[in-house]
Amino acid sequence: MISLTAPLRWILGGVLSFLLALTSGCGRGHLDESAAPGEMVMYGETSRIRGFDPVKAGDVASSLAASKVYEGLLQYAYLDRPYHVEPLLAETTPKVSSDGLTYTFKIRQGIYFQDDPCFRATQGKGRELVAGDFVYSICRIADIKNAASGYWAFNDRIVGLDEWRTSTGGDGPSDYSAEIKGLRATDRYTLQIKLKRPYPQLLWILTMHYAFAVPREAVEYYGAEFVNHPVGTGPYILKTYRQNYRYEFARNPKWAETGRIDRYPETAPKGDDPSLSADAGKPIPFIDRIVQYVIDDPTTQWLVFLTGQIESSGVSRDNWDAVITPDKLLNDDLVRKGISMLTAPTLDLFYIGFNMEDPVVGTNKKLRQAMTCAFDTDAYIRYYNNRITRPTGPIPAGVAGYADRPSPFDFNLERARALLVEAGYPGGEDPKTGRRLTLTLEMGSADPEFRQAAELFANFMEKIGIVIKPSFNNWPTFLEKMERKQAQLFSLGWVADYPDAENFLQLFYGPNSSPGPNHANYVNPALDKLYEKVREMQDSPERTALYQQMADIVVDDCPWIFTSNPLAYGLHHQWLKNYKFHDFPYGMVKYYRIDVDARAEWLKTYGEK
Amino acid sequence: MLRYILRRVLQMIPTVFGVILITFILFNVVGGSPAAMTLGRHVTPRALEEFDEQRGFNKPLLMGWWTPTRAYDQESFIRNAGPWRQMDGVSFEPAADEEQPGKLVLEGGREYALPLAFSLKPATTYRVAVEYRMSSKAIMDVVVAQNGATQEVVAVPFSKDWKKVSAVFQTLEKTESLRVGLRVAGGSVEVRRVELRRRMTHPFDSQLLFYLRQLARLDFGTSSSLNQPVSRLMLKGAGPSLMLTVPIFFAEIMISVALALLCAFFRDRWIDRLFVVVSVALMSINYLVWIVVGQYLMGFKWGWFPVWGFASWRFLTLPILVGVISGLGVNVRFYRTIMLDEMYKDYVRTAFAKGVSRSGVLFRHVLKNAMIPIVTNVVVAIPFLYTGSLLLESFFGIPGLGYLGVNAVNSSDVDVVRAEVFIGAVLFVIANLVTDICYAWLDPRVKLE
Repeated sequence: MISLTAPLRWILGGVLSFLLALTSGCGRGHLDESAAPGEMVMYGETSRIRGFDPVKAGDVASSLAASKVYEGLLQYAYLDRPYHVEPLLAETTPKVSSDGLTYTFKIRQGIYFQDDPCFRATQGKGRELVAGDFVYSICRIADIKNAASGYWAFNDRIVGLDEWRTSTGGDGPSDYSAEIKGLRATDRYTLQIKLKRPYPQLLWILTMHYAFAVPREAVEYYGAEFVNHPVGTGPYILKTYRQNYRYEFARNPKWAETGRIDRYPETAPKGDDPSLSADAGKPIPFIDRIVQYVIDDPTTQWLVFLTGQIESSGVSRDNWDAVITPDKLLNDDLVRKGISMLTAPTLDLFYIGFNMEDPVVGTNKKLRQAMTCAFDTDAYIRYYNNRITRPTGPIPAGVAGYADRPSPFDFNLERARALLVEAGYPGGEDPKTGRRLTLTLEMGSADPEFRQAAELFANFMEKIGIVIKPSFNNWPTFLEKMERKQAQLFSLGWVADYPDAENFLQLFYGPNSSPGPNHANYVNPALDKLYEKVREMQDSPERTALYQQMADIVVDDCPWIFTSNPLAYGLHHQWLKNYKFHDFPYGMVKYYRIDVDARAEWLKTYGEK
Repeated sequence: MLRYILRRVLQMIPTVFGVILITFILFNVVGGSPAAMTLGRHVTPRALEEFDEQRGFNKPLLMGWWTPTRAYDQESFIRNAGPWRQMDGVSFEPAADEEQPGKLVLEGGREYALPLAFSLKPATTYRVAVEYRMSSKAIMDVVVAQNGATQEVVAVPFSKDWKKVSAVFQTLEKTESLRVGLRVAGGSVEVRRVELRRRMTHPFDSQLLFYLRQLARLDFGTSSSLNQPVSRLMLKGAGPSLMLTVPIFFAEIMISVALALLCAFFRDRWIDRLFVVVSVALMSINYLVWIVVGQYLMGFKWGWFPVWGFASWRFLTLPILVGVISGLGVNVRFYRTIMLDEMYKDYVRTAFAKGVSRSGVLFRHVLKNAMIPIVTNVVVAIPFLYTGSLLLESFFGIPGLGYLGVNAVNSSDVDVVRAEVFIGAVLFVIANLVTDICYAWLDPRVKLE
């Protein structure tokens, strides 16, 4: 028999009480959330947000976050297709001079920044937005010290801005009060931009987060903390945030206080779902609070969506078969739960590029054409569960310049073999060495998805006798190889910055070679001349014809094998209203609505686990 | 004692300096400049150079008068002619064998301008060096022209064998145009290497000096993925990490010592053997398995604890539980061995012979002496408290230093990783010192040398 002497009793007692303390921390396995009665809250998931400063926001998640709190001069018209811009903080679309070089914007009067202690002059009350705020914001992008990834949008465009940028390079503080000839607030509510050359894409650029209005007081007051403490004019303010974990946005009270009313689009395009017009003309935003979690693990993400804790989710490759039937419809179980699936084409283009500076592939057009013909379109689409379409040229569907016609180098093994002979590698064999031609393919990741895609491509090339050696890198190493032009073949993609084919054609412009975005280092003086012509042309049938001509040149030269144009698949619960897919959804959460009662009903039936 | 401590502290200094050097070499040399990653897709060579200038990356590594510039970086022609390939009169000959890199052949009767990616800095000295070989009768000059006027002409000595020549020139205050050209006449010239270097204002202005200056200001750089100063991120992350690791640390000590004592008390009885078996089983199960099983069973299936997050102290219970249980096996076995070792010593037998009770022997004699190796083991673990448990923090979403470190490694955030390594190394050195002092203080047999 064990005799429980005093010290022993002590120890056992301690251990027991500790265990009890632990188990008393009971909790459900779900996100702890509660909403006030009548409050409309939207729950979502986001990738890591790197900061809310528009100047530092280089990735999608950060841009989406910044566009809730900040606003720019222009925005995309939410429902209209094809995409076009409409004024947001500007009163109307700008007045453009006849030579296309001077843009004059009139700012809306009575727009206020949110209340914040940084506005010391007005005792913490948000002050009115003025044209000078846009001058300041664009200068911040140009400031070398900010290492902004968005300066490309204004590089060599605005008179005087590049000289000012050079002046910010030294050790001393950057002078934001300096006069810049091409970027001036001519009066309190008028902004004038003078360009060096015509810039038809300027209006698209002004919808992007680069030129969002940022108050100087906040930047100076918060210093290094400004990136986490946004102060904007937008429909939401950042209420609480826990880095890499949870972000909460609340309705900006300044809108109601100053009587600012922005409205849901009055008219919707004819083909749209009638539910998208239900809120026509009503004041936005509808949602009172937005809560977003950073959930890295895809299984947890999926679970959290299935239990109704977040409103939307994508479909990952692992979930694909469980979620989508072979007929590309949503699985019955999910349909019964009221979940709907929306698919939409995107302006993303993925490709395998040839490094034109490589002595083996860069100088041998027939070889590149042969490899393009050996790419088995159907097998590739099947591998991606039919979620992609095979692009036939550098311009994707959805923008002017797209030509819906088959590629001149369609999948044809016979032709591929014939071209290979013409290239000097009969049967894939290099006559000089007697060995099979071996090419290296650089991949940007070692994830299973990438491995399988590389294997599939190697498989295609094997059929004509070429050996492909995949080289798996992590993203930074891959970027460095691209920057130093060290790849032979590489797999990369391009997501459009704005809906204009020029954004894709600039990837073939000589001066944009690595480290610029033209990582194929494709240099074609004829194409360069055409590019320099089209980039100054406004949208017109002539320009579209030139776009097509340039696309044809690129397709013939084969610096890329165009592999996929993915479709976006989104799953939504039935209580998310007014959602319409947009390629540039920045700030569009202000149009969404949540049917709170429908969600509560659903949670009662399906939410409990 | 005090002299010993002082001496040990002084010995720490070269160690810490060694750590500084190693982190510098590892991250500046191997990591390189995060310019391309930070500046995004639409980057230009000029923007990269401006970024490097801000962060001190365009200086020589350790020391030196000359540093490379991104304005021209195709130094040798290993696989292709690079920016020279579209130039008239230039042809490229690929490498004949492993020894010789490829070379450019410049035909006579032309001037070849060095293809600069962007205009050079004003009022700065540059040096262009060319390794060349001439065919007979060839003449070559290096010509530097600024703002339309020829500034300098350096005649290149004739050589049939590979020879290197360099020309130094200075850019003007206001340079509207600059051309550095190779004027070839009379025959062709083969070029194997072309280098462009910028002169530093003084030879010690190097990346190492930049790094040392930063450290002196306790400035650990800026995180490229979170856009904030690293020192601020470390301070923010320290709190949650300690909130996780300190309870685990203390709970583990208390529970393992208690269980080890229990085993020693009931030496060789069924309770002792049971605990040994259980410890070995606990030890053998992988850490990750504990995490995943714990999350699934206790968090998700049975709903006892919240699975993920850091909203309140409740969110720490499951990771602490998992942390304690996974570490228990090793510690119990280790401490049990120590205590049993003590139990077999002579003085214990004497104590029993004197008639001291079992628990009396354990608590009054054995425990005290067993504490010495236990304390040593425990103090060495203290520096790792600050890094937090990388796995626990990642899987449970605790925003501590471990989570920060894992994200930094995944996004190649050089500054954060370097700071974590540096601070960890320094803490380790300090912990070693503290261990030695503790040991000397606890054990009267130890003489301070």
